[in-house]
Amino acid sequence: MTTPPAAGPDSETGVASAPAAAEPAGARTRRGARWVGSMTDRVPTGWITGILTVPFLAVAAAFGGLNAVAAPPIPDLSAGKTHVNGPFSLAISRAVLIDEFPEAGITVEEGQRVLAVVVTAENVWDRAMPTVLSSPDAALRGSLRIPSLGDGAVPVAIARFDDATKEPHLQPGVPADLVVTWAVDADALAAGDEVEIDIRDLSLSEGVLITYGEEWGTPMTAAHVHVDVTDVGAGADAEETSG
Amino acid sequence: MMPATPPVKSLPPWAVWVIGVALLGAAWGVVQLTPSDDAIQAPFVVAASVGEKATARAFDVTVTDPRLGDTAFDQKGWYGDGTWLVVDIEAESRQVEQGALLGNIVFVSDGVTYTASERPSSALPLSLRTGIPQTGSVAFELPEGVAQRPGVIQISLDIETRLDSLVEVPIDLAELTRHDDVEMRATGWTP
Repeated sequence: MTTPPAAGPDSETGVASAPAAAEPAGARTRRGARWVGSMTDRVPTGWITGILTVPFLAVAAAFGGLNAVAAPPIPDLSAGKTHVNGPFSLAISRAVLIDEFPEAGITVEEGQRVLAVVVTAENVWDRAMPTVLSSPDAALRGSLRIPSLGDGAVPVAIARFDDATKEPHLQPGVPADLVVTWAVDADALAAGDEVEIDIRDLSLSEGVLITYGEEWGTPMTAAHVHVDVTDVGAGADAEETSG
Repeated sequence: MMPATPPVKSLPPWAVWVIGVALLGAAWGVVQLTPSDDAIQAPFVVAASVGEKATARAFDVTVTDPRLGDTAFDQKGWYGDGTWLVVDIEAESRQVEQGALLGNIVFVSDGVTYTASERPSSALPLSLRTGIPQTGSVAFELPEGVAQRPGVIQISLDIETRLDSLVEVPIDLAELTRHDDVEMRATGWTP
């Protein structure tokens, strides 16, 4: 034994040290640290994350972090209100029922009429985009739906209002008035009815492996637009387009 | 008897650090010199000025007479209001006519790409003939603000330009006179 008698209390921890009388304050601090060390040594390591998680959750709960999050509400827009998303700025101005509208690129069967919706669309992306692509969920055609019409509710045709160009491209920063048409059963809608048109936001994906380039797709409904329907009958007076 | 082993010379510590830093610098340089994935597939740019014939892989093309106007009109009664850039192009295929369909004419300004408008009857798409040049017009519908900016007309057979020729003709729109009406010529054999 090399421990001098003056260090008797320290000898309980089995560590030799300088005489306590030489530096009493430092010895007391070291003894405290040793106590913390010997206590934490007995805590299983696996508990430590649990011990840290509990106060974290408690603090998060105190600030409301564990409350259920309400899904963001889908806004209801009225006619003429502009909705802007990644590729487009869209404003639906009016909806008309018309017997036939071949100028807009749609032909209907017996017992059907045309629901024509006038949309002011602007391409806010950095390159020209077609309004119609092969996929019904892409381009402007993928952004507009009327769920109450059923049958996928995909627009049948899109044409320019001013010169009746079918399936036109939208040039960046150049707004265009478009006529988007659906075929509806003759008794499905009447003048004065309100029709709800969904605007769907598209997200940009980049092609990898066997595909290349960027593409807007994966539509998610982002706004409901409520528009009153007017009936123009045969339509020769009001809705003809001409270049 | 064992052969005499040559004495092992170890580098001084400063030399180890110098060589290490030099190797790091060389690795950085290699990374900088390596082309990106896009560069590996980049189109071969054929630069030309207005009025100069550009020779691409499969076709020759000349862009002439750029003009800006508030209204563009074609030879079939169509007209459109807005801001229009109209240029004439003269083009012919070089070797074969099969597949020589000039289908991609765009105007790029500030990183934004405008395609030649499909609204008027224009030279797009143009089925090229070998040795017999054809002339026509294309029109670009632009936002008002772009009419003061420089840009580049890009021409290729297909919108898929990777690893093919891409003709680039710079045009500064600010230098062009703004007209009320700009006329598009009918597409036909070069007179």
